[in-house]
Amino acid sequence: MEEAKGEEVTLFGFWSSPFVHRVTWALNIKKIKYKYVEEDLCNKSDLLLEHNPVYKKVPVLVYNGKAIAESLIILEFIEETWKENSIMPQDPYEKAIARFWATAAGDGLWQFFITEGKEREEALASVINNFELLEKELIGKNFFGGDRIGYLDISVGWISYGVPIFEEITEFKIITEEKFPLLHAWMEAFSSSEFVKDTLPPREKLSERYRKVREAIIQKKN
Amino acid sequence: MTSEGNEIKLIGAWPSPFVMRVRIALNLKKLGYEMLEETFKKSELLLKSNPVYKKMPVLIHDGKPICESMIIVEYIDETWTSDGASILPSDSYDRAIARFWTAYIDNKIPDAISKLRPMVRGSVEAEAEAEKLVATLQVIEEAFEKCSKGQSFFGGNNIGYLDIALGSCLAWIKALEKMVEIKILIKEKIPGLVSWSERFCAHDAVREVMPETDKMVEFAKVLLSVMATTPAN
Repeated sequence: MEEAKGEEVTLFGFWSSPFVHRVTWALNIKKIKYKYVEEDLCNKSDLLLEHNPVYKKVPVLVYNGKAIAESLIILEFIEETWKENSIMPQDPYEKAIARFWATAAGDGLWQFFITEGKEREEALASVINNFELLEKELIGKNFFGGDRIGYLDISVGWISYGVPIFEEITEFKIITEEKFPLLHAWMEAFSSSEFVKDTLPPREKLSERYRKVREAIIQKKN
Repeated sequence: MTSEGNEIKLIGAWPSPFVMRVRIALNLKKLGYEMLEETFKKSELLLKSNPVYKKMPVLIHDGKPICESMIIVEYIDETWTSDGASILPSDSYDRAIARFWTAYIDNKIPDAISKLRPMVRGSVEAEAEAEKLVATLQVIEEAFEKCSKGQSFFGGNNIGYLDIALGSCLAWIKALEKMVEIKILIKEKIPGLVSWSERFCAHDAVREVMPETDKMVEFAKVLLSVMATTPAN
């Protein structure tokens, strides 16, 4: 594990947060030694509130006393601070494409999950439209990053375990092998990768959590 | 003034703050480009170049499209490294801070502008909404003190990434002050940002792409009438 003299890295997180997972994966790939602090989101620690006063959310990475919030921003910081095992593409155009999809890829998925009827149909149409485009980014590659996992794989990695859970709960399969062969293969490759496989939250526990959240939202609307 | 072998086109429209961000970045790098002005009906090129969001700006560099204003700004900074000053800070922590506040701005300000735009001038709801926007700017004022470290801009001596993100919103903010009869750039509440806004608007890279307030107000009226008659996009 890489730890330069006097370097202190702490990650404030929560077991089910896909945003926290992004940071965990990046730290693993970069072989960075860090301290993990599991937050109780119903009773946030003073330290968390001090480090992220604007949003009071996880993840927060604290590096030598300096706090960085927002998962994608933390990924860029990690890439720039620890030069080995690069996760970003070198080419500025490929970087721009990766940055674009990091946020766009998930668009509509949450909406699909928490709505019903016409609203859900519209969200699903948007999700399928995006996945069709995202599928093309995998042509000729094992990962979005090429041979190795990169920034975009990490950013959209939550899809690999989140979408199957959404599909199970809503009883609707989005990423089928026929419709999205490359995405389907990527999900398997990503979730079984050495940097990811031991970090995934227990599936039953996560599924139960999402089920409850969805029920609560839908009940509130009706 | 185009760099050799570089063809730059920008799909945009003069009133858009997001388009303005890209133009400021291109100006900072002294890059020539062809502006493809959009109208209310989206062009085929826009729909083809940004199939996900179908929105401007889109930068097309040697035929390759790049979407999302601040991603484009970063792309410009990384592609043209010898022309003009660097747009993002060099220190990685400072870069994270600039990105953080840019995301904050994008979370809060465009929505606030959209809410205020159709409100009745001098109304109670307009004043309440304006107060919220001022409160947001007061948070950013604190960030300005920390980032600028006593210099003229968030980026230091010259305008940078975060200046561009916030400064591009000034045209709408000033137009709203006039149209809706509200005060947003209040010297007593956000003194640092008020002075900064004057310096920003006067900057060489900004002046020619920052629309005049009266022109924005006229445009706003047209926009509101179009929005009233068109189904949501």
